[in-house]
Amino acid sequence: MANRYWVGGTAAWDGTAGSKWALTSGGAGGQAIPTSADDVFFDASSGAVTCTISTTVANAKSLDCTGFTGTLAGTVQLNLSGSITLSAGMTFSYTGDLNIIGTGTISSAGKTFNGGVGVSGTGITVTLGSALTLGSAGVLFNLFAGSLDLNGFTLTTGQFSSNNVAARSIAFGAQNIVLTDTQVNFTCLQCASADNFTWTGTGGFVRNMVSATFVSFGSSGGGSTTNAPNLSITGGASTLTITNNSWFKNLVFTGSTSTISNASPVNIAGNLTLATGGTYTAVNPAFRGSGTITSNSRSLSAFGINGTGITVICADALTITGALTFTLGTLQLKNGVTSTVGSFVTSGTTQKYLQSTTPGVQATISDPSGTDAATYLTIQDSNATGGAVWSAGIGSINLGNNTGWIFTQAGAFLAMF
Amino acid sequence: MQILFTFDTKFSQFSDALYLDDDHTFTDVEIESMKQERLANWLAAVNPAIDPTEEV
Repeated sequence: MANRYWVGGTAAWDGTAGSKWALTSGGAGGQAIPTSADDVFFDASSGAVTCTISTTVANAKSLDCTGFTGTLAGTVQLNLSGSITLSAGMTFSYTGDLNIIGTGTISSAGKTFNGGVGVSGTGITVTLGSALTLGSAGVLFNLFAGSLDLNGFTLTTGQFSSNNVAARSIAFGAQNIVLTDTQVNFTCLQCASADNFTWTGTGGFVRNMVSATFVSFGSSGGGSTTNAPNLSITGGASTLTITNNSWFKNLVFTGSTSTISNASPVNIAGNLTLATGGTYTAVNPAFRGSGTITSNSRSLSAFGINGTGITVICADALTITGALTFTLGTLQLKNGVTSTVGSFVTSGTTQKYLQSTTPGVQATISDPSGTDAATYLTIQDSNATGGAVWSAGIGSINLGNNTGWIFTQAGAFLAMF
Repeated sequence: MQILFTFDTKFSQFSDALYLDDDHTFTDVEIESMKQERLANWLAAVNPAIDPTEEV
């Protein structure tokens, strides 16, 4: 392991060592080209020159450009076993792939990475030393294996991928990974396989809908209530396609007028908030964890509740054009407003609970036609109306303050004494 | 020295850091200008259509 200082003037970082590399800053050249065991330095003594990674894959343990006023360019992959430090005074036009295979820190000094960045090392941790921004036109941050620690900084990338079964983790803290891809109908969040993926913190993924895009998390496996990430859509009007069977903890739309496509179902492990200007008529959320749904007068295509011991709270009126399917858990409809469903369906023989958000005050649920035949449903403070026949059959329990329900099983009423 | 800074925008929070020599001679105005440049560059990435001078 040694230090390698660039003293090669404007030239290529390649296999011809020549006089390009020195052991000390501004020292005599002629040293061997850096290997993955060498710390590489571009500094003030390197001069205002251009080093181009252009012909063969470059390797280094770390890359430190502190004080460098020249340009690092090129299109060929750079493998680093440690940290990369850029400087404000340099030009970073490099568009090759940066592949990090060892524990280290990325300090970008405000420079945009227009090539991909990969983290690929079992057990390694890559930490941000400042905000990191990758290009918006399809440039990819790929967490293939290892851990990513945002360390209080914003990571901005066209696309983010972590789509395999290796152990991967993200320490978000309170920060976000902002997805900025401008390509139309590409996938800006590529985590279809979420096996062995974990995360910590309160942050998540953020997208401003500047172009139509896809997102996927756990859609082909590995998604769960424990690893579903947060996704916030903070603006824009382009179509968002959520790959079927994806998982998200808090799925929050704010300020977006986007149409959401193909989200049937999307598993929700936390809160779901719809934006007043958006269109969600293709969205079928299946609540798998406790949370609050805020509809903001928007309609959903269908709605499911399926989680042992979970409670889903409606912050306002719920409007479901299709079926509300109730399998496990508790649903608290907002009192004082009318929630509307296309049909009300229960599934399984485990007791489910339909309540009002305010105990003792009825919440109204309406269905214009047909028969809604519930089973194994404990009902309290519910006004069922709209024209449909509301039947509470086998296994159902009347906990009181209900109207409109027909309890078909003798002895279904249980007084609360 | 490290100078941490954060801006809250309608798209997301942006958090970054400046690294300066301990004996740097930048004025507060110049440092604030550096922060604003970082923010403007980030906003251009998040929303290419945005007017950098728009209040966010």
